Amino acid sequence: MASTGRSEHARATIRPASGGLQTAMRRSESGSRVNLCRLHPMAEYPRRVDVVQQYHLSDHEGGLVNRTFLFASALSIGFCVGPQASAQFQPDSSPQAQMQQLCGNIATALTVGDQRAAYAFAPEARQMVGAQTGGTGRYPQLAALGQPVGAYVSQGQPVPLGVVFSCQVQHHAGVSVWHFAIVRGLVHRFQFQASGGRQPHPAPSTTAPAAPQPSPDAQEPGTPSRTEACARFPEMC
Amino acid sequence: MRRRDFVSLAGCGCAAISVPASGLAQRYEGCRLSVSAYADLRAVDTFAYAGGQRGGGSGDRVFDRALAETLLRLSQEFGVSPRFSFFDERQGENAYASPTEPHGEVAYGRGLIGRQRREQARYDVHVIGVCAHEFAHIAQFARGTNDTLNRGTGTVKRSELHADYLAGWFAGLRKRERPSFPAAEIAQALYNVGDNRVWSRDHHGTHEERGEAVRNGFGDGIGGAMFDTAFQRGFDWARRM
Repeated sequence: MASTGRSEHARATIRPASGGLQTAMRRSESGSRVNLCRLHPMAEYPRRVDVVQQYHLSDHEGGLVNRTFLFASALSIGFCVGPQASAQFQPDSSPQAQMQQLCGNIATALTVGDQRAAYAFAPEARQMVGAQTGGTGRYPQLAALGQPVGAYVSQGQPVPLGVVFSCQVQHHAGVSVWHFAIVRGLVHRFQFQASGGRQPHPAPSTTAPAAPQPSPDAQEPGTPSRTEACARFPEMC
Repeated sequence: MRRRDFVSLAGCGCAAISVPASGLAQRYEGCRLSVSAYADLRAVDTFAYAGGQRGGGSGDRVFDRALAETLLRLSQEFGVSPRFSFFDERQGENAYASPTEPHGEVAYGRGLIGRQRREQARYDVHVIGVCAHEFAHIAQFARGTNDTLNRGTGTVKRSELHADYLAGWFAGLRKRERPSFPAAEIAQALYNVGDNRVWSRDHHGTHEERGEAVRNGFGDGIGGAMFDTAFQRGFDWARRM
């Protein structure tokens, strides 16, 4: 059995959009069409109803034992039509690239508080985001991480009316891990977890359902820099 | 101290295995477990990590979901797709890799994972380390390098160090993606399972050698080396040991 080498995670670089998202869209349309507002993942995925939420072990500073998932509801995708955007992705029409673009764009919107992102949310989700952000559409936890600079999709899973997928967004000062559920072209539920940044990230009050809870014996781990491991292997910290 | 105790029993383990003389011991080759020995494991419960399916797990639903995702990532990065199972250890606490058909098997002791959860603040990272090491063995089996590395040495040290190297590569890969990833914990875990039984066939490498293996592999991972490159570099490095 031969190795297949590295993973097939698609990556994209988010570049500051000099001309805004319209420019990005025009650029996309001139080549392979990339229009997040017309994302129809099911058209290209086999249909399965095997929905899970995924996250890696130790995918944030606290590791598995320090989960503070922030659970909100959905987004939709229409906000990308707006005249400005703070990020754009390289054109690619593959489903994974579309999910990647969606992930990066939503992360960017909720980092900077792009009000037009409200049109991307399903009504319930829109209300929840508004409630969680005081109507600004800007999550302090994300803002503390800085502007997104890259994103990749770790896994996607089709569902009958859409797709659920996980992605990771690299910010200037940290990382956010996202999980999306898209139904009928809208993001009906999302969840993100911020790690890194310049300040603690208290979880906002949310009535989000089914948020994973820390195990009863969860301990608060120390940061790597304070461990014996870092003393012995400083170059790995 | 507590950590040292844990690792001596588990780590990417194998060193502390204790089995009846007539049983697994005769077929035990480091972390490698022969097909027939694998069949002797008790209460093997397959944990399907691909395709969103979940088999029997550790008993912690949230942990199992995260574990499944991590295993899937390991599978992708290492280019292998072993079956993953939990089993009840007869004695001691351990994890194994076995070259069973068609894609190999990784068996993780419930006792081991339970101990990790009880004693390690970063037990999740320790689990990653163990799994990465075992997946590396699966990759060795697939490429037929396991025996090549150990030939003429009288121990399994080279193949174990090679697996440590690749675990370090994976740690570097994750660190490259996420700077806060506690990669040093993986190195520390493998450092701690080092042993000085240099005359034993089960000698896996000294503390320093194992730590150095992870450190070198980490350098490849953080530098963006592809798996095939890291595999070969690790092979060359281990062959000099």
